[in-house]
Amino acid sequence: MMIENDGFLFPNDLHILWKLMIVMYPYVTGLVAGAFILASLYHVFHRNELRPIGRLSLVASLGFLLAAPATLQLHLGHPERGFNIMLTPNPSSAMAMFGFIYAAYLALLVFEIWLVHRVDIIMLASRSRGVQRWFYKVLALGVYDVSEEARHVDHGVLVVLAALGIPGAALLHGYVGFIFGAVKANPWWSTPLMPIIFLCSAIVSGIAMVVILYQVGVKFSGRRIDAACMQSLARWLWLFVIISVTLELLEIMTLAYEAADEWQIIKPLLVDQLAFSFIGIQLIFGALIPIILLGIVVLMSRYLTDQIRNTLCFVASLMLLVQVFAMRWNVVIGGQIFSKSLRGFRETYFPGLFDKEGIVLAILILVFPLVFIALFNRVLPVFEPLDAGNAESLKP
Amino acid sequence: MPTIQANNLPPHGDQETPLPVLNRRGFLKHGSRALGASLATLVLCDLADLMQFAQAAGLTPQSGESVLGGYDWTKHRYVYLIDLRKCIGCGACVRACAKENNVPRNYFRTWVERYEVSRTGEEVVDSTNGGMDGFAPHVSGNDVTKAFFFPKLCCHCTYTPCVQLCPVGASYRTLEGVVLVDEKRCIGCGYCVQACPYGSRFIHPVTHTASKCSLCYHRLTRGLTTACVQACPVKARMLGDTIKVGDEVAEIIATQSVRTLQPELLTDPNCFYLGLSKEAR
Amino acid sequence: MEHAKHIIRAVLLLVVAVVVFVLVRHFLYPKSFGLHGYYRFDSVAEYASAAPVHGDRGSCAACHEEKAATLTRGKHASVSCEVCHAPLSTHVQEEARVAPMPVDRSMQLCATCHQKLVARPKGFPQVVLPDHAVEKGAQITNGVCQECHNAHNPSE
Ligand code: HEC
Ligand code: HEC
Ligand code: HEC
Ligand code: HEC
Repeated sequence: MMIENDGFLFPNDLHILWKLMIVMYPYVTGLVAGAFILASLYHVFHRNELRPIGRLSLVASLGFLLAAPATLQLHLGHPERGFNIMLTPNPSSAMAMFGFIYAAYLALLVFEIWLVHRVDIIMLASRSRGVQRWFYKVLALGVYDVSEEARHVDHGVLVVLAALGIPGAALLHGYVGFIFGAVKANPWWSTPLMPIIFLCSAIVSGIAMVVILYQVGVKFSGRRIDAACMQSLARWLWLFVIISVTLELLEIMTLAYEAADEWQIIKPLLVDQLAFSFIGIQLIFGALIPIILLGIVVLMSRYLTDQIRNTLCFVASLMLLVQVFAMRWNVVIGGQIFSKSLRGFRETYFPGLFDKEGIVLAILILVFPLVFIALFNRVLPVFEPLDAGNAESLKP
Repeated sequence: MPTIQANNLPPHGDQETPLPVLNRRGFLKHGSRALGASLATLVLCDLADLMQFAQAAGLTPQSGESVLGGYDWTKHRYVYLIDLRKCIGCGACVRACAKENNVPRNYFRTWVERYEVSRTGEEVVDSTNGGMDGFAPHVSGNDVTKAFFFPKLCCHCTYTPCVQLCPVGASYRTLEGVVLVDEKRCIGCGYCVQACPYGSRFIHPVTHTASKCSLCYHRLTRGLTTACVQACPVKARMLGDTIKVGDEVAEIIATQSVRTLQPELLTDPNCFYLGLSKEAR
Repeated sequence: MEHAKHIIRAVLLLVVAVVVFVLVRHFLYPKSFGLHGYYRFDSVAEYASAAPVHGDRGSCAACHEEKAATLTRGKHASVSCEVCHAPLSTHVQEEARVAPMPVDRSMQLCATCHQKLVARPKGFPQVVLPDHAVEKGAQITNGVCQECHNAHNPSE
């Protein structure tokens, strides 16, 4: 089929329908899943060098999880009906499961964080007075058992939860990829690789976010960055960027090589419409450079001072956060730039500043988890567990 | 309540302690009790809904006459036929549809495209304002060898991706094969709009819900034909009913060479075309 | 299990949450949902209850018998009155005229169907507008086509 691109769009296809908030949605849930899977490396697979970020990544995961529904609610035409998704979830709909997966995952994450911090909660209850004391006592659910046995139980449950959480996180995010991958009407989305690509880049963004939170958090609290931990993070990050970028490229190579009907529109999409955000940001700035930077950290670790390692990791992580955002953008917006007529492109989309789906709200959504972590840290320690040293006895 | 001595606590690094062995019996006992109770509640509460489903899946659908004012929806199965060789591209159907269904400006429940193909294979397609104001003579400068108008509307697919994907059950297919949107339940997520390969859905700018061709359901139930079919001056648009004996349109679909749009997607549209050329998509 | 008390409490909390959800869901569950499939059946009735805007083909004839007869006699028999005028409900409601029916005498109306276009079927009568009227010796004014053609029976 010879397509002469004269820019014909179906008349209903003039506008981009899924805007910035739908780019944010996979981005934020990706951070949730990525941070959680990172936490599981420590809690389930006992990568002990990751201990310094074991708590932080769980709390970060929760922060972003709490922010995630805001993206959807801001997008919906009828946010007040959002609960319908749990009232009458259509069993044949990919999207319908969101409410349940989300709720289950939230419960699991809160439970897990609670277990991780339980001893601290009890200790804080014993140290504080008045309202604060009551607050911690309620948090402890009125049980102050920190005996060896109780902690064994905690740990056992924790491992089970974290283990359940891995498929949970994979599901939470893999299914976001599935939402796109299962749209057979859209050649740029419709690929079974989509969930895996989403998942891999989610892990990349999650680790990158934790690297940044860790470095910044540690600076603020006047601690030292743990070199072994940073080295390990860099290694995992490197591995997942490589997998993720390879998959992203593989998908496009397949499309190009098969050169079916849809390639006629996807080619101009990639080289014209998305040239900047796809080739420029997603492939070169966001992937190639960080892969090199992290490669240096991983392969030449011996020659690096801590300072250089931290800086390289920090810079690479920032770039990877941009890369993953660009990848979400290129999928979500890219899939809508061309009309389903496959004969033309829509007006280019750039989010407004103060719209419902605008930049300001998007930034607020990203800032919320950071504030959440900071506040959480005031209530319960996210970096290191409390020093059991000089605690008083708790008289309930 | 036990009093704990916090400084008796073991050091914090949980990874130092070996994997504990959970007391399985106790865990199972309590766990299963709690699980059982919650499951029982779930099942009991939703039994009513489930029964309704069983009924829906049953083989004898009710006529629904009481609700539909004497119209029996088990006695119809609509099909739509468009004869591209007849269409003159006047846009009367688009105007009629917009008035009948109060379709917002710049959105279309049905629209008309124009294809002009030259000998060298150049394809020029346009659909200014969905063809609502008819078409002006083209000055493409091509040596046009093949040209036709191409009216479109919702294909009312049998295996429709939009209904499959609707997260809240707001998109559905009636017994007669009409795909509708429940405007009171639609959350406006736009997933169905993305899923429709034909571009026949849109988010209504005022109600913020998905909107699409309803096959003039309110007219069909009153025994009228759709606004677009009635407006067509050349009978290029026809509505048929495969259950009706001796239906002219059903006969054409059964006996002549008709095509559907993007058949490779296996959505099994109920809107058929006569004289569909390969360029048309 | 004496050392798993806190776990049991947490699980109970979860169970309470689930039960609350199930109850809330039960009360919010839409009436008539799932009667005939995974949707609210009342919605079908809502669609069915909308009032038609256009009448049926014969609806104008009740009051404009003579015009309708003229139309059916000629080449425009297949053209619905409402295409050239406007939907019935804007003009007549409950069997009484509520508002004047627009009469469009412009060339534009005829042009939507008769302007010569390559994409139109060859057998359909089309003329190059406005050249056709000029050729026939008419001045282009509003209603020029009606000078020689009766809109209701153009060959007359
Ligand atoms: C092809 C388009 C067309 C169709 C179809 C058509 N009309 Fe008309 N009608 C016109 C035009 C144009 C005029 C104005 C004629 C004139 O002024 O000479 C008109 C005038 C009239 C008038 C007279 C108004 C007046 O001021 O004198 C009536 C009544 C009328 N139409 C009714 C009908 C009815 C009833 C039908 C269907 C049976 C119908 N028309 C179908 C185009 C149409
Ligand atoms: C209930 C009877 C009735 C029906 C049905 C009816 N009309 Fe009329 N119509 C009238 C009356 C009464 C007048 C005003 C009397 C007159 O001017 O001749 C009128 C006038 C008109 C006129 C002249 C402009 C005007 O409004 O004064 C047109 C054009 C017209 N009708 C078109 C139509 C068309 C087209 C239909 C069908 C869609 C239709 N009418 C259906 C009763 C009816
Ligand atoms: C909605 C479309 C439509 C509109 C508007 C319309 N016509 Fe027609 N016209 C037709 C159709 C359909 C025929 C019949 C063609 C055939 O017989 O193949 C026709 C036939 C004719 C013929 C007869 C041609 C012949 O072969 O004898 C003339 C003349 C004509 N129209 C003039 C007009 C004029 C003048 C107007 C404007 C008042 C007009 N038409 C508006 C659809 C329309
Ligand atoms: C001065 C008189 C006159 C005017 C004004 C006029 N026509 Fe005609 N028209 C004719 C005559 C005479 C014929 C039949 C002879 C022919 O086919 O050339 C005709 C034929 C037609 C035909 C049929 C052509 C065919 O191929 O069968 C159409 C369509 C038509 N006219 C449309 C219009 C339209 C639309 C207008 C308004 C712009 C218009 N005419 C104005 C005199 C006129």
